[in-house]
Amino acid sequence: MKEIGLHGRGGQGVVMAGELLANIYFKEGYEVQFMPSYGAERRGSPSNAYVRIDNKRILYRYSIKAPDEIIVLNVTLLPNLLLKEGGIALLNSADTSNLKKSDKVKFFVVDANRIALECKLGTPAIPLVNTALLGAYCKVRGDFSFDTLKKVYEEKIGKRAYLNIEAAEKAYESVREV
Amino acid sequence: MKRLVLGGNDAVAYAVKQSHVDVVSAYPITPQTSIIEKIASFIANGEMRTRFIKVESEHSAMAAAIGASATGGRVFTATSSQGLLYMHEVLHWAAGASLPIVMANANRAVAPPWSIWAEQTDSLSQRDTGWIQFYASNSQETYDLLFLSFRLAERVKNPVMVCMDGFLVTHTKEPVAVFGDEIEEFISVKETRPLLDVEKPEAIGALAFPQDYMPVKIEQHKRISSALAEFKTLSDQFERISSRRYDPIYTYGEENADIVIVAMGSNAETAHLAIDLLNKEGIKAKLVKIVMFRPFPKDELIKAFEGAKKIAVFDRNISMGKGGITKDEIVGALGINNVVGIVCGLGGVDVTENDMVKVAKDVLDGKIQEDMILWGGR
Repeated sequence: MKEIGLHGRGGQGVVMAGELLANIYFKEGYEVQFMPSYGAERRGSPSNAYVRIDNKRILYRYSIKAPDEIIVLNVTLLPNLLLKEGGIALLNSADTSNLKKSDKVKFFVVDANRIALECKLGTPAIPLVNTALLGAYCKVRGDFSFDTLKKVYEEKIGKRAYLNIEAAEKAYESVREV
Repeated sequence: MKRLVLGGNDAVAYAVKQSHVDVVSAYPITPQTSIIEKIASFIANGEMRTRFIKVESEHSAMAAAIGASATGGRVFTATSSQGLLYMHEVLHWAAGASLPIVMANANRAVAPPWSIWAEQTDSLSQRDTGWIQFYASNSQETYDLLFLSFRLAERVKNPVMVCMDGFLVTHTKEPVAVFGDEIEEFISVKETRPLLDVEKPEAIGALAFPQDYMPVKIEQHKRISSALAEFKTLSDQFERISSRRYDPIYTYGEENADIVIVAMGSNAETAHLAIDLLNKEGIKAKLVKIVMFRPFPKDELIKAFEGAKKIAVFDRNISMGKGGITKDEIVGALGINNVVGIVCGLGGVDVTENDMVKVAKDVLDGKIQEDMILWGGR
Protein backbone atom coordinates (compact mmCIF):
# COMPACT_ATOMS: atom_id res chain seq x y z
CA MET A 1 0.00 0.00 0.00
CA LYS A 2 1.07 3.55 -0.71
CA GLU A 3 -0.13 6.58 1.23
CA ILE A 4 0.05 10.06 -0.28
CA GLY A 5 -0.53 13.32 1.60
CA LEU A 6 -1.63 16.51 -0.15
CA HIS A 7 -1.05 19.65 1.85
CA GLY A 8 -1.94 23.21 1.04
CA ARG A 9 -4.07 26.10 2.11
CA GLY A 10 -7.83 26.54 1.65
CA GLY A 11 -8.50 27.77 -1.91
CA GLN A 12 -5.53 26.07 -3.58
CA GLY A 13 -7.54 23.01 -4.55
CA VAL A 14 -6.13 20.43 -2.12
CA VAL A 15 -9.33 18.38 -1.82
CA MET A 16 -9.87 18.46 -5.59
CA ALA A 17 -6.26 17.32 -6.13
CA GLY A 18 -6.79 14.34 -3.83
CA GLU A 19 -9.98 13.34 -5.58
CA LEU A 20 -8.36 13.65 -9.01
CA LEU A 21 -5.37 11.60 -7.90
CA ALA A 22 -7.60 8.85 -6.45
CA ASN A 23 -9.51 8.72 -9.73
CA ILE A 24 -6.29 8.57 -11.77
CA TYR A 25 -5.03 5.53 -9.83
CA PHE A 26 -8.50 3.96 -9.94
CA LYS A 27 -8.52 4.29 -13.72
CA GLU A 28 -5.12 2.60 -13.74
CA GLY A 29 -6.71 -0.42 -12.03
CA TYR A 30 -5.81 0.18 -8.38
CA GLU A 31 -8.06 0.08 -5.34
CA VAL A 32 -8.13 3.59 -3.92
CA GLN A 33 -9.32 5.48 -0.88
CA PHE A 34 -9.55 9.26 -0.73
CA MET A 35 -9.77 10.71 2.75
CA PRO A 36 -9.99 14.49 3.06
CA SER A 37 -9.23 15.90 6.46
CA TYR A 38 -11.89 18.41 7.50
CA GLY A 39 -11.64 21.11 10.09
CA ALA A 40 -12.52 24.77 9.92
CA GLU A 41 -12.91 25.36 6.19
CA ARG A 42 -11.79 28.79 5.09
CA ARG A 43 -9.46 30.37 2.56
CA GLY A 44 -5.88 30.40 3.69
CA SER A 45 -6.11 27.88 6.53
CA PRO A 46 -4.14 24.62 6.24
CA SER A 47 -6.00 21.98 4.23
CA ASN A 48 -4.99 18.33 3.98
CA ALA A 49 -6.17 15.39 1.93
CA TYR A 50 -4.91 11.82 1.77
CA VAL A 51 -4.99 9.06 -0.80
CA ARG A 52 -4.36 5.37 -0.14
CA ILE A 53 -3.54 3.08 -3.06
CA ASP A 54 -3.35 -0.70 -3.00
CA ASN A 55 -3.86 -3.82 -5.08
CA LYS A 56 -6.53 -5.07 -2.69
CA ARG A 57 -9.56 -3.58 -0.93
CA ILE A 58 -8.54 -0.84 1.51
CA LEU A 59 -9.90 -1.33 5.02
CA TYR A 60 -8.05 1.31 7.04
CA ARG A 61 -10.57 3.77 8.49
CA TYR A 62 -8.37 6.23 10.28
CA SER A 63 -6.26 9.21 9.42
CA ILE A 64 -2.78 9.09 7.91
CA LYS A 65 -0.12 10.70 10.08
CA ALA A 66 3.09 10.05 8.09
CA PRO A 67 2.49 9.30 4.40
CA ASP A 68 4.98 7.65 2.03
CA GLU A 69 4.90 10.69 -0.21
CA ILE A 70 3.71 14.26 0.14
CA ILE A 71 2.62 16.82 -2.42
CA VAL A 72 2.98 20.26 -0.88
CA LEU A 73 0.96 23.02 -2.50
CA ASN A 74 2.22 25.64 -0.06
CA VAL A 75 5.77 25.27 1.30
CA THR A 76 5.11 27.40 4.39
CA LEU A 77 3.42 24.26 5.75
CA LEU A 78 6.52 22.09 5.30
CA PRO A 79 7.88 22.41 8.89
CA ASN A 80 4.64 20.88 10.24
CA LEU A 81 4.46 17.91 7.88
CA LEU A 82 5.44 14.33 8.58
CA LEU A 83 6.77 11.90 6.01
CA LYS A 84 8.00 8.31 6.24
CA GLU A 85 11.72 7.73 6.05
CA GLY A 86 12.76 7.14 2.44
CA GLY A 87 9.76 9.15 1.31
CA ILE A 88 9.29 11.64 -1.48
CA ALA A 89 8.30 15.29 -1.08
CA LEU A 90 7.11 17.20 -4.13
CA LEU A 91 7.08 20.91 -3.42
CA ASN A 92 5.51 23.87 -5.15
CA SER A 93 8.55 26.12 -5.07
CA ALA A 94 10.74 28.24 -7.35
CA ASP A 95 13.43 28.64 -4.73
CA THR A 96 15.44 25.71 -3.36
CA SER A 97 18.02 27.70 -1.39
CA ASN A 98 16.37 26.87 1.95
CA LEU A 99 16.12 23.14 1.25
CA LYS A 100 18.80 20.99 2.81
CA LYS A 101 19.64 17.79 0.98
CA SER A 102 18.66 14.81 3.05
CA ASP A 103 19.50 11.10 2.99
CA LYS A 104 16.09 10.34 4.42
CA VAL A 105 13.82 12.21 2.01
CA LYS A 106 13.95 12.93 -1.70
CA PHE A 107 12.87 16.48 -2.57
CA PHE A 108 11.45 17.49 -5.93
CA VAL A 109 10.42 21.02 -6.85
CA VAL A 110 8.30 22.65 -9.50
CA ASP A 111 7.26 26.30 -9.82
CA ALA A 112 3.54 25.55 -9.92
CA ASN A 113 2.52 29.11 -8.98
CA ARG A 114 4.09 30.47 -12.16
CA ILE A 115 2.70 27.64 -14.29
CA ALA A 116 -0.83 28.03 -12.90
CA LEU A 117 -0.85 31.77 -13.62
CA GLU A 118 0.54 31.21 -17.14
CA CYS A 119 -2.40 28.86 -17.69
CA LYS A 120 -4.92 31.34 -16.23
CA LEU A 121 -5.67 29.13 -13.22
CA GLY A 122 -6.54 31.11 -10.09
CA THR A 123 -5.39 34.59 -9.15
CA PRO A 124 -1.91 35.96 -8.24
CA ALA A 125 -3.04 35.90 -4.58
CA ILE A 126 -4.17 32.25 -4.75
CA PRO A 127 -2.99 30.44 -7.90
CA LEU A 128 -4.80 27.13 -8.46
CA VAL A 129 -1.75 24.89 -8.42
CA ASN A 130 -3.36 21.51 -7.80
CA THR A 131 -3.58 20.22 -11.37
CA ALA A 132 -0.06 21.37 -12.29
CA LEU A 133 1.39 19.55 -9.27
CA LEU A 134 -0.27 16.28 -10.26
CA GLY A 135 1.45 16.59 -13.65
CA ALA A 136 4.79 16.92 -11.86
CA TYR A 137 3.89 14.02 -9.59
CA CYS A 138 3.20 11.85 -12.64
CA LYS A 139 6.77 12.51 -13.82
CA VAL A 140 8.35 11.98 -10.37
CA ARG A 141 6.56 8.69 -9.64
CA GLY A 142 5.93 7.34 -13.09
CA ASP A 143 3.43 4.78 -11.78
CA PHE A 144 0.53 6.14 -13.82
CA SER A 145 0.43 7.39 -17.37
CA PHE A 146 0.02 11.05 -18.30
CA ASP A 147 -2.71 9.93 -20.66
CA THR A 148 -4.78 8.63 -17.72
CA LEU A 149 -4.31 11.98 -15.97
CA LYS A 150 -5.60 13.76 -19.08
CA LYS A 151 -8.67 11.52 -19.28
CA VAL A 152 -9.53 12.07 -15.60
CA TYR A 153 -9.11 15.86 -15.96
CA GLU A 154 -11.43 15.83 -18.97
CA GLU A 155 -14.06 13.81 -17.10
CA LYS A 156 -13.91 15.68 -13.81
CA ILE A 157 -13.05 19.27 -14.72
CA GLY A 158 -15.14 19.86 -17.83
CA LYS A 159 -14.75 22.97 -20.00
CA ARG A 160 -11.53 24.27 -18.46
CA ALA A 161 -9.83 20.88 -18.48
CA TYR A 162 -7.53 21.90 -21.34
CA LEU A 163 -5.94 24.67 -19.23
CA ASN A 164 -5.33 22.22 -16.41
CA ILE A 165 -3.85 19.67 -18.82
CA GLU A 166 -1.56 22.38 -20.19
CA ALA A 167 -0.47 23.24 -16.62
CA ALA A 168 0.15 19.55 -15.88
CA GLU A 169 2.25 19.20 -19.05
CA LYS A 170 4.39 22.23 -18.16
CA ALA A 171 4.92 20.90 -14.64
CA TYR A 172 5.72 17.43 -16.00
CA GLU A 173 8.46 18.97 -18.17
CA SER A 174 9.94 21.30 -15.56
CA VAL A 175 9.89 19.33 -12.29
CA ARG A 176 13.39 18.55 -10.95
CA GLU A 177 15.06 16.78 -8.07
CA VAL A 178 16.82 18.94 -5.50
CA MET B 1 -22.82 -2.40 -13.13
CA LYS B 2 -19.94 0.08 -13.22
CA ARG B 3 -17.60 1.17 -10.44
CA LEU B 4 -17.26 4.82 -9.44
CA VAL B 5 -15.11 6.45 -6.75
CA LEU B 6 -17.72 7.68 -4.28
CA GLY B 7 -17.97 8.78 -0.67
CA GLY B 8 -20.79 7.51 1.54
CA ASN B 9 -22.71 10.74 0.97
CA ASP B 10 -22.32 10.50 -2.83
CA ALA B 11 -23.43 6.88 -2.70
CA VAL B 12 -26.55 7.80 -0.73
CA ALA B 13 -27.43 10.55 -3.24
CA TYR B 14 -26.99 8.12 -6.18
CA ALA B 15 -29.19 5.53 -4.46
CA VAL B 16 -31.90 8.12 -3.75
CA LYS B 17 -31.74 9.20 -7.41
CA GLN B 18 -32.30 5.59 -8.53
CA SER B 19 -35.09 4.93 -6.00
CA HIS B 20 -37.85 7.03 -7.59
CA VAL B 21 -38.20 9.21 -4.51
CA ASP B 22 -41.16 11.59 -4.69
CA VAL B 23 -40.20 14.04 -1.96
CA VAL B 24 -37.00 15.10 -0.22
CA SER B 25 -37.31 17.55 2.66
CA ALA B 26 -34.08 18.41 4.39
CA TYR B 27 -32.01 20.96 6.22
CA PRO B 28 -28.21 21.11 5.83
CA ILE B 29 -25.76 20.08 8.56
CA THR B 30 -22.13 18.93 8.40
CA PRO B 31 -21.18 16.17 7.53
CA GLN B 32 -24.48 15.34 5.85
CA THR B 33 -24.83 18.41 3.65
CA SER B 34 -23.20 16.98 0.54
CA ILE B 35 -26.02 14.38 0.31
CA ILE B 36 -28.75 16.95 -0.13
CA GLU B 37 -26.50 19.23 -2.22
CA LYS B 38 -25.99 16.40 -4.67
CA ILE B 39 -29.70 15.54 -4.68
CA ALA B 40 -30.55 19.22 -5.25
CA SER B 41 -28.16 19.31 -8.22
CA PHE B 42 -29.66 16.08 -9.66
CA ILE B 43 -33.09 17.73 -9.46
CA ALA B 44 -31.79 20.98 -10.98
CA ASN B 45 -30.20 19.05 -13.87
CA GLY B 46 -33.45 17.23 -14.54
CA GLU B 47 -31.89 13.86 -13.60
CA MET B 48 -34.44 13.38 -10.80
CA ARG B 49 -38.16 14.07 -10.83
CA THR B 50 -38.47 14.80 -7.14
CA ARG B 51 -40.00 17.60 -5.10
CA PHE B 52 -37.34 19.16 -2.85
CA ILE B 53 -38.86 20.92 0.16
CA LYS B 54 -36.56 23.46 1.77
CA VAL B 55 -37.31 23.89 5.43
CA GLU B 56 -36.08 26.08 8.27
CA SER B 57 -35.13 23.26 10.67
CA GLU B 58 -34.77 19.51 11.07
CA HIS B 59 -37.97 19.40 13.13
CA SER B 60 -39.79 20.79 10.09
CA ALA B 61 -37.86 18.52 7.71
CA MET B 62 -39.31 15.48 9.45
CA ALA B 63 -42.75 17.08 9.77
CA ALA B 64 -42.81 17.67 5.99
CA ALA B 65 -41.57 14.12 5.42
CA ILE B 66 -44.44 12.81 7.57
CA GLY B 67 -47.02 14.75 5.56
CA ALA B 68 -45.60 13.63 2.23
CA SER B 69 -45.33 10.00 3.35
CA ALA B 70 -48.83 9.90 4.84
CA THR B 71 -50.28 10.89 1.47
CA GLY B 72 -48.42 8.11 -0.35
CA GLY B 73 -45.06 9.55 -1.38
CA ARG B 74 -41.73 7.77 -1.20
CA VAL B 75 -39.82 10.16 1.03
CA PHE B 76 -36.17 10.68 1.92
CA THR B 77 -34.36 13.02 4.28
CA ALA B 78 -30.89 13.25 5.78
CA THR B 79 -29.43 14.77 8.90
CA SER B 80 -26.74 14.48 11.55
CA SER B 81 -26.09 14.92 15.25
CA GLN B 82 -27.66 18.15 16.55
CA GLY B 83 -30.11 18.06 13.65
CA LEU B 84 -31.19 14.53 14.50
CA LEU B 85 -31.60 15.49 18.14
CA TYR B 86 -33.74 18.45 17.14
CA MET B 87 -35.95 15.98 15.21
CA HIS B 88 -36.35 13.66 18.19
CA GLU B 89 -40.01 14.26 19.00
CA VAL B 90 -41.09 13.96 15.36
CA LEU B 91 -39.16 10.69 14.94
CA HIS B 92 -41.66 9.09 17.35
CA TRP B 93 -44.55 10.49 15.31
CA ALA B 94 -43.17 9.09 12.04
CA ALA B 95 -42.72 5.60 13.51
CA GLY B 96 -46.00 5.69 15.43
CA ALA B 97 -47.87 6.57 12.24
CA SER B 98 -46.24 3.58 10.39
CA LEU B 99 -44.71 5.82 7.76
CA PRO B 100 -42.00 4.29 5.53
CA ILE B 101 -39.68 7.32 5.53
CA VAL B 102 -36.00 6.64 4.86
CA MET B 103 -33.38 8.87 6.44
CA ALA B 104 -29.59 8.92 6.22
CA ASN B 105 -27.80 10.02 9.36
CA ALA B 106 -24.16 11.06 9.33
CA ASN B 107 -22.96 9.97 12.75
CA ARG B 108 -21.35 12.99 14.37
CA ALA B 109 -20.43 13.68 17.98
CA VAL B 110 -22.89 15.64 20.07
CA ALA B 111 -21.98 19.04 21.58
CA PRO B 112 -20.67 20.36 23.89
CA PRO B 113 -17.84 20.67 23.13
CA TRP B 114 -18.73 21.39 19.52
CA SER B 115 -17.52 18.67 17.15
CA ILE B 116 -18.18 17.68 13.56
CA TRP B 117 -16.41 14.29 13.69
CA ALA B 118 -17.52 10.69 13.92
CA GLU B 119 -19.43 9.25 16.87
CA GLN B 120 -22.62 7.22 17.06
CA THR B 121 -24.15 8.62 20.24
CA ASP B 122 -26.49 10.82 18.15
CA SER B 123 -28.39 7.99 16.45
CA LEU B 124 -28.03 5.50 19.30
CA SER B 125 -29.80 7.99 21.55
CA GLN B 126 -32.74 7.66 19.10
CA ARG B 127 -32.82 3.92 19.85
CA ASP B 128 -36.31 3.98 21.34
CA THR B 129 -38.04 6.13 18.72
CA GLY B 130 -39.29 3.06 16.84
CA TRP B 131 -37.06 3.52 13.78
CA ILE B 132 -35.31 0.60 12.15
CA GLN B 133 -31.58 1.38 12.28
CA PHE B 134 -28.79 0.22 9.97
CA TYR B 135 -25.10 1.08 10.36
CA ALA B 136 -23.03 1.12 7.16
CA SER B 137 -19.26 0.64 7.27
CA ASN B 138 -18.31 1.84 3.80
CA SER B 139 -19.65 3.58 0.71
CA GLN B 140 -20.87 0.37 -0.94
CA GLU B 141 -22.94 -0.50 2.11
CA THR B 142 -24.53 2.96 2.31
CA TYR B 143 -25.50 2.63 -1.35
CA ASP B 144 -26.92 -0.89 -1.07
CA LEU B 145 -28.63 -0.36 2.28
CA LEU B 146 -30.53 2.63 0.89
CA PHE B 147 -32.30 0.44 -1.69
CA LEU B 148 -32.96 -2.23 0.91
CA SER B 149 -34.25 0.44 3.31
CA PHE B 150 -36.88 1.82 0.95
CA ARG B 151 -38.20 -1.69 0.31
CA LEU B 152 -38.02 -2.72 3.96
CA ALA B 153 -39.69 0.48 5.18
CA GLU B 154 -42.58 -0.01 2.78
CA ARG B 155 -42.86 -3.75 3.45
CA VAL B 156 -42.92 -3.36 7.25
CA LYS B 157 -44.59 0.08 7.25
CA ASN B 158 -41.94 1.53 9.49
CA PRO B 159 -39.33 4.28 9.00
CA VAL B 160 -35.67 3.34 8.50
CA MET B 161 -32.51 5.23 9.44
CA VAL B 162 -29.24 4.41 7.65
CA CYS B 163 -26.33 5.60 9.77
CA MET B 164 -22.73 6.12 8.67
CA ASP B 165 -19.77 7.57 10.54
CA GLY B 166 -19.12 11.20 9.71
CA PHE B 167 -16.15 11.72 7.36
CA LEU B 168 -14.84 8.17 7.92
CA VAL B 169 -17.71 6.92 5.76
CA THR B 170 -19.56 10.02 4.52
CA HIS B 171 -16.53 11.70 2.92
CA THR B 172 -14.11 8.83 2.40
CA LYS B 173 -14.22 8.04 -1.32
CA GLU B 174 -13.62 4.56 -2.66
CA PRO B 175 -14.79 2.38 -5.54
CA VAL B 176 -18.52 1.59 -5.41
CA ALA B 177 -20.38 -0.72 -7.78
CA VAL B 178 -23.28 1.36 -9.09
CA PHE B 179 -26.37 -0.23 -10.66
CA GLY B 180 -27.72 0.44 -14.09
CA ASP B 181 -31.28 -0.56 -14.94
CA GLU B 182 -30.91 -3.96 -13.24
CA ILE B 183 -32.01 -2.44 -9.89
CA GLU B 184 -35.37 -1.40 -11.42
CA GLU B 185 -37.16 -4.71 -10.77
CA PHE B 186 -36.20 -4.49 -7.09
CA ILE B 187 -36.68 -0.80 -6.36
CA SER B 188 -39.78 -0.12 -8.45
CA VAL B 189 -41.94 -2.41 -6.27
CA LYS B 190 -44.30 -0.40 -4.09
CA GLU B 191 -46.50 -1.88 -1.39
CA THR B 192 -50.05 -0.72 -0.77
CA ARG B 193 -50.65 0.92 2.58
CA PRO B 194 -53.35 3.04 4.21
CA LEU B 195 -53.03 6.66 3.07
CA LEU B 196 -54.51 9.99 4.05
CA ASP B 197 -57.26 10.83 1.63
CA VAL B 198 -59.11 14.14 1.58
CA GLU B 199 -62.21 12.37 0.23
CA LYS B 200 -62.30 10.08 3.25
CA PRO B 201 -60.91 12.11 6.16
CA GLU B 202 -59.35 10.21 9.07
CA ALA B 203 -57.38 11.30 12.12
CA ILE B 204 -53.95 9.87 12.99
CA GLY B 205 -52.56 10.03 16.48
CA ALA B 206 -55.72 11.08 18.30
CA LEU B 207 -55.98 10.74 22.08
CA ALA B 208 -55.95 7.12 23.26
CA PHE B 209 -57.03 6.19 26.77
CA PRO B 210 -54.80 3.69 28.63
CA GLN B 211 -56.58 0.52 27.51
CA ASP B 212 -56.38 1.70 23.87
CA TYR B 213 -52.87 3.12 23.96
CA MET B 214 -51.06 -0.01 25.06
CA PRO B 215 -52.34 -2.32 22.30
CA VAL B 216 -51.33 0.26 19.69
CA LYS B 217 -47.79 0.42 21.04
CA ILE B 218 -47.46 -3.37 21.34
CA GLU B 219 -48.68 -3.64 17.75
CA GLN B 220 -45.94 -1.15 16.77
CA HIS B 221 -43.34 -3.20 18.65
CA LYS B 222 -44.42 -6.36 16.76
CA ARG B 223 -44.34 -4.47 13.48
CA ILE B 224 -40.74 -3.25 13.81
CA SER B 225 -39.68 -6.64 15.21
CA SER B 226 -40.92 -8.30 12.01
CA ALA B 227 -38.26 -6.34 10.11
CA LEU B 228 -35.61 -8.97 10.96
CA ALA B 229 -37.37 -11.68 8.95
CA GLU B 230 -38.54 -9.32 6.20
CA PHE B 231 -35.00 -7.99 5.78
CA LYS B 232 -33.76 -11.51 5.05
CA THR B 233 -36.42 -11.99 2.37
CA LEU B 234 -35.60 -8.69 0.68
CA SER B 235 -31.89 -9.39 1.06
CA ASP B 236 -32.32 -12.65 -0.90
CA GLN B 237 -33.91 -10.70 -3.76
CA PHE B 238 -31.24 -8.01 -3.60
CA GLU B 239 -28.47 -10.61 -3.65
CA ARG B 240 -29.82 -12.13 -6.86
CA ILE B 241 -29.41 -8.75 -8.58
CA SER B 242 -26.22 -7.50 -6.96
CA SER B 243 -24.36 -10.65 -5.84
CA ARG B 244 -23.89 -8.82 -2.53
CA ARG B 245 -25.36 -10.27 0.63
CA TYR B 246 -26.66 -8.29 3.61
CA ASP B 247 -27.72 -9.77 6.93
CA PRO B 248 -28.52 -8.22 10.32
CA ILE B 249 -24.98 -9.14 11.37
CA TYR B 250 -21.85 -9.80 9.34
CA THR B 251 -19.00 -12.06 10.42
CA TYR B 252 -15.39 -12.41 9.29
CA GLY B 253 -12.55 -14.65 10.44
CA GLU B 254 -12.31 -17.97 12.25
CA GLU B 255 -15.64 -19.78 12.55
CA ASN B 256 -14.86 -21.18 16.03
CA ALA B 257 -13.12 -18.18 17.50
CA ASP B 258 -11.81 -17.81 21.05
CA ILE B 259 -11.97 -14.04 20.89
CA VAL B 260 -14.73 -12.11 19.12
CA ILE B 261 -14.37 -8.45 18.23
CA VAL B 262 -17.72 -6.67 17.90
CA ALA B 263 -17.85 -3.40 15.99
CA MET B 264 -20.39 -1.25 14.20
CA GLY B 265 -19.82 1.34 11.48
CA SER B 266 -16.36 2.40 10.29
CA ASN B 267 -14.55 0.58 13.13
CA ALA B 268 -15.73 -2.68 11.58
CA GLU B 269 -13.65 -1.97 8.45
CA THR B 270 -10.42 -1.55 10.42
CA ALA B 271 -11.40 -4.54 12.58
CA HIS B 272 -10.89 -6.85 9.57
CA LEU B 273 -7.19 -5.96 9.72
CA ALA B 274 -7.10 -6.70 13.46
CA ILE B 275 -8.67 -10.13 12.87
CA ASP B 276 -6.09 -10.92 10.18
CA LEU B 277 -3.25 -9.95 12.54
CA LEU B 278 -4.66 -12.04 15.40
CA ASN B 279 -5.25 -15.07 13.19
CA LYS B 280 -1.72 -14.76 11.80
CA GLU B 281 -0.43 -15.00 15.38
CA GLY B 282 -2.41 -18.21 15.86
CA ILE B 283 -5.13 -16.59 17.95
CA LYS B 284 -8.54 -17.73 16.77
CA ALA B 285 -10.41 -14.48 16.24
CA LYS B 286 -13.60 -13.38 14.56
CA LEU B 287 -15.28 -10.08 13.75
CA VAL B 288 -18.98 -9.66 14.38
CA LYS B 289 -20.31 -6.49 12.79
CA ILE B 290 -23.74 -5.24 13.78
CA VAL B 291 -25.43 -4.07 10.57
CA MET B 292 -28.99 -3.87 11.89
CA PHE B 293 -29.22 -2.40 15.37
CA ARG B 294 -33.02 -2.04 15.54
CA PRO B 295 -34.71 -4.43 15.64
CA PHE B 296 -31.89 -6.01 17.61
CA PRO B 297 -30.49 -9.22 16.03
CA LYS B 298 -30.43 -11.25 19.26
CA ASP B 299 -30.68 -14.76 17.76
CA GLU B 300 -28.02 -14.04 15.14
CA LEU B 301 -25.65 -12.81 17.85
CA ILE B 302 -26.27 -15.86 20.07
CA LYS B 303 -25.24 -18.05 17.13
CA ALA B 304 -22.22 -15.92 16.24
CA PHE B 305 -20.90 -15.97 19.82
CA GLU B 306 -21.22 -19.75 20.22
CA GLY B 307 -18.04 -21.20 21.69
CA ALA B 308 -16.31 -17.83 22.12
CA LYS B 309 -14.22 -17.50 25.27
CA LYS B 310 -14.28 -13.69 25.32
CA ILE B 311 -16.06 -10.92 23.47
CA ALA B 312 -14.59 -7.43 23.09
CA VAL B 313 -17.14 -4.82 22.02
CA PHE B 314 -15.71 -1.61 20.53
CA ASP B 315 -18.18 1.25 20.89
CA ARG B 316 -17.67 4.60 19.17
CA ASN B 317 -20.42 5.96 21.39
CA ILE B 318 -21.16 6.38 25.07
CA SER B 319 -24.14 6.33 27.40
CA MET B 320 -23.13 8.66 30.21
CA GLY B 321 -23.06 6.82 33.51
CA LYS B 322 -23.13 3.40 31.80
CA GLY B 323 -20.60 3.06 28.98
CA GLY B 324 -20.61 1.64 25.45
CA ILE B 325 -24.14 1.28 24.12
CA THR B 326 -23.87 -1.80 21.89
CA LYS B 327 -21.98 -3.62 24.66
CA ASP B 328 -24.86 -2.89 26.98
CA GLU B 329 -27.40 -4.04 24.39
CA ILE B 330 -25.54 -7.32 23.87
CA VAL B 331 -25.27 -8.09 27.56
CA GLY B 332 -28.89 -7.08 28.11
CA ALA B 333 -30.25 -9.18 25.27
CA LEU B 334 -28.05 -12.26 25.65
CA GLY B 335 -27.44 -12.28 29.42
CA ILE B 336 -23.79 -13.30 28.97
CA ASN B 337 -20.91 -12.31 31.21
CA ASN B 338 -17.81 -12.87 29.06
CA VAL B 339 -18.12 -9.44 27.44
CA VAL B 340 -15.80 -6.45 27.86
CA GLY B 341 -16.92 -3.05 26.58
CA ILE B 342 -14.39 -0.67 25.07
CA VAL B 343 -15.42 2.95 24.57
CA CYS B 344 -13.25 4.40 21.82
CA GLY B 345 -13.01 6.92 19.00
CA LEU B 346 -15.31 9.54 20.51
CA GLY B 347 -15.45 12.76 18.51
CA GLY B 348 -13.52 11.17 15.62
CA VAL B 349 -10.43 9.90 17.48
CA ASP B 350 -8.56 7.30 15.41
CA VAL B 351 -9.05 3.63 16.25
CA THR B 352 -6.40 1.47 14.62
CA GLU B 353 -6.03 -2.27 14.07
CA ASN B 354 -3.05 -2.24 16.45
CA ASP B 355 -5.23 -0.72 19.19
CA MET B 356 -7.79 -3.46 18.62
CA VAL B 357 -5.25 -6.30 18.55
CA LYS B 358 -3.68 -5.22 21.84
CA VAL B 359 -7.03 -4.88 23.61
CA ALA B 360 -8.38 -8.14 22.16
CA LYS B 361 -5.32 -10.08 23.38
CA ASP B 362 -5.57 -8.59 26.87
CA VAL B 363 -9.29 -9.37 27.01
CA LEU B 364 -8.64 -12.97 25.94
CA ASP B 365 -5.82 -13.40 28.48
CA GLY B 366 -8.00 -11.97 31.25
CA LYS B 367 -5.67 -8.97 31.75
CA ILE B 368 -8.64 -6.74 30.94
CA GLN B 369 -11.82 -7.83 32.71
CA GLU B 370 -13.60 -4.55 33.31
CA ASP B 371 -15.06 -2.16 30.72
CA MET B 372 -12.44 0.30 29.61
CA ILE B 373 -11.72 3.50 27.74
CA LEU B 374 -9.39 3.19 24.75
CA TRP B 375 -7.75 6.54 24.22
CA GLY B 376 -6.49 5.52 20.79
CA GLY B 377 -4.07 7.25 18.49
CA ARG B 378 -1.07 5.06 17.77
